[in-house]
Amino acid sequence: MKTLYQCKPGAKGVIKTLKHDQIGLRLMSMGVLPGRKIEVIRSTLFGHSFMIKVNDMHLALRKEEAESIQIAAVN
Amino acid sequence: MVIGILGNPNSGKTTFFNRLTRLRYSTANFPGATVEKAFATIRFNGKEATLIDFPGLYSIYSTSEEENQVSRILMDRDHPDHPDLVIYMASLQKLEQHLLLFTQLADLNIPTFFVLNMSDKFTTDPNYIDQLSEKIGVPIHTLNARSTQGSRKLILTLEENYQQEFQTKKRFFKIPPHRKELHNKICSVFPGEKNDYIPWIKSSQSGIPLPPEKARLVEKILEEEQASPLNLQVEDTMARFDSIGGIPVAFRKNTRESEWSSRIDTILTHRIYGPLIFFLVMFIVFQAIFSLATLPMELIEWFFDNVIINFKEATPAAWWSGLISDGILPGLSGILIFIPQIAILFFLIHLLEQTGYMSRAVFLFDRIMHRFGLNGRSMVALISGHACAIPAVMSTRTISNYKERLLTIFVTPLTSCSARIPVYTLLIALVIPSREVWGIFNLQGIVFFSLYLLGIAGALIVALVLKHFLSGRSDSFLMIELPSYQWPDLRTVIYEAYDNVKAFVVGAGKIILMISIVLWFLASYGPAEDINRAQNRVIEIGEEMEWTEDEIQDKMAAATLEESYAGHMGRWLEPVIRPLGYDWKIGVALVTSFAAREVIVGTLATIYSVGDDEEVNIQAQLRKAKWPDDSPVFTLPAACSLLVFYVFALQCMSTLAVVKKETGTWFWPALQFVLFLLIAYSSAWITYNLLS
Repeated sequence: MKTLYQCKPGAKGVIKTLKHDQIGLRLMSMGVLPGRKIEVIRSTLFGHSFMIKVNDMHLALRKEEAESIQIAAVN
Repeated sequence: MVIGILGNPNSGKTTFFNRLTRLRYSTANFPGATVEKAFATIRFNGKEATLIDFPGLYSIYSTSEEENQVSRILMDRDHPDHPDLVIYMASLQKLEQHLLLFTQLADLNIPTFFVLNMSDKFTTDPNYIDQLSEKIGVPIHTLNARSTQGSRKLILTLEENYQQEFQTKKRFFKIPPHRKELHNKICSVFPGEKNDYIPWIKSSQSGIPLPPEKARLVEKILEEEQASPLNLQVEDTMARFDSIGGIPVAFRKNTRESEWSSRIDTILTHRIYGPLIFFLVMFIVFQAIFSLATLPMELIEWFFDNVIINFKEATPAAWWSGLISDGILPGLSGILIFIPQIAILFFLIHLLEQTGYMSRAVFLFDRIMHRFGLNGRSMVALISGHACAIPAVMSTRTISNYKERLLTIFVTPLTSCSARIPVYTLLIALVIPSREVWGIFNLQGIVFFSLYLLGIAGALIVALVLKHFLSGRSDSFLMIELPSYQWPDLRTVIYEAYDNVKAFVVGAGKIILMISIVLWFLASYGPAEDINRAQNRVIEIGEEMEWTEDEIQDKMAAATLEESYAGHMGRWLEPVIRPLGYDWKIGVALVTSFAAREVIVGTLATIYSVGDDEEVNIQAQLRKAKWPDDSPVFTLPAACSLLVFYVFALQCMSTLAVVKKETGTWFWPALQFVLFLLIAYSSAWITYNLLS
């Protein structure tokens, strides 16, 4: 199990847990929830920002925010 | 009656709001006094109701100051903006996410009219709506957001039915089993509260201030029960998603279609090409504005020139005709000529927002913005600041971090807003030749573009420096939704642009009218003895030098102007602005334009036409302007110095007022004014001396 930040673009997985902090709470409100499928679509140059897809929704996250998400990789 | 439109960001709220206000137009809509994105008065059941477009919200648990304010309004039944009725917008595509806030509103017992934005890209079971309605406990009204017919029917339905209770029969709030004790204790802190969800929110939401005794009690309880406010929020949120989990699901018809937006993103958010394409798009937008606007502008100019000439010929030389032909008309024409450019600019920026591209810009540039002490969301302010700083400053409400938001508000007015266009255009046309460079570029266009770049550079540099002086706090985040690309709703875009232009013209128009009149008076009259003395001198010298009748007339007019009140003011200012290459007339124009920068064109027009009966075209008049030693005033160094001054100086009372409102104090706008003035002055001085 690793955090989203550790995943490379193209990685797909299932969300295991989120950190219970402000960031985690907001992510949850936006629909990033344990049990949902998640995909890392791409990152910006130097990998500071990520574009992810959860249940048909595309989100842009910073690396600190990506670190709040623990996923179990599917591939 | 207050009707609030609520929903997640990107749920189609604002489009719906615009439709409703168009259909039920009562008064214009404009940004709210506190947190509302917009509000308008509409006709509802024969009476007037206030319709408020609230900012998009994911949950009642807020993460930004803006969201916090909305939460507070929703929790406070006595707040003037507290909605008596909520129109809740949800979209079929993201129904699960969108229901979170709905369940919270339902548990707050706020009557809610549920609108479901349908999408023809999804199919559902035939009984879908009924099943869904059953599950959430309220009737569901579907809408195809783009069609006006649907909106019209919807509001009629709402009018007919609003007497009924719109409160759901369902309650979604479930107290987690291990928190029963805690919940009991918390409820006892708020004995008057019948709704048992409200104490939960009040205890967990740090943004909602409590009276000190209650706050202390709550703190104690949380400590006893080993829970943090955050725990409460998380548990409530997760529990709600659990109960929403069972809702019927809609299916994407054609999975290939969803890739359309993704495929576009592959290019537009590409690590390297993404930013490059962005700059290219900005440049194209920029070019488009000027090429498309040329024809309409020439027409307007031609129209005004003729109007003024004919007016002068048709009317006798009386004080009032002078006021109109030399004061009001030139002043107004100076602004109206630029409507085409301003309209196209607003139009293109709204278009960009509507397609969803703005959020991509936020994504691409968040990292860089962060280095300058800003946030990716600041891009929105910096881009829209090129149309007008006022909505740009307001758009910063979505930035949760105090320091990032303050910096964005502070530097946004350095971007070249559309009010600077008249100034830039006039001065560039005056001294920069219209030559082709490298085949496709026009030299004037290049100079124009560099002024814009100068503004942006200024903004970034000031942010970079200022960020070290502000104490930083945490809670800065990006976490932004990237909605699918969509065809912009042209009607909305045009309406929004039209509203913007109208506000600009009316606002600027009023100021210009006032200032033109005052200025005309100040430039035509002065202390009697000074004027007489000057006029006599002209006659004396004229006799000596044997000037012609015309020459004497000209010199008389010039002398009168110089001894007028405006002249006195200007000459008093001259020593300060001489080093920048300006004469006293420009000085007067500078002073008047601190109210609103576009006024300078009208002021120059007035000052130079008072006493000049031949030339009506302001450019020609400026070319004739001379120093006492007969050297031209508007040389390349002087004009460029004036241009640079205008890039930086904060000359807009409205902006200062908005900054004061958004920051809550006069300190920041005052600092902006002084700092930008210093930057403007020194840059203008450097430019003048560099080019001389």
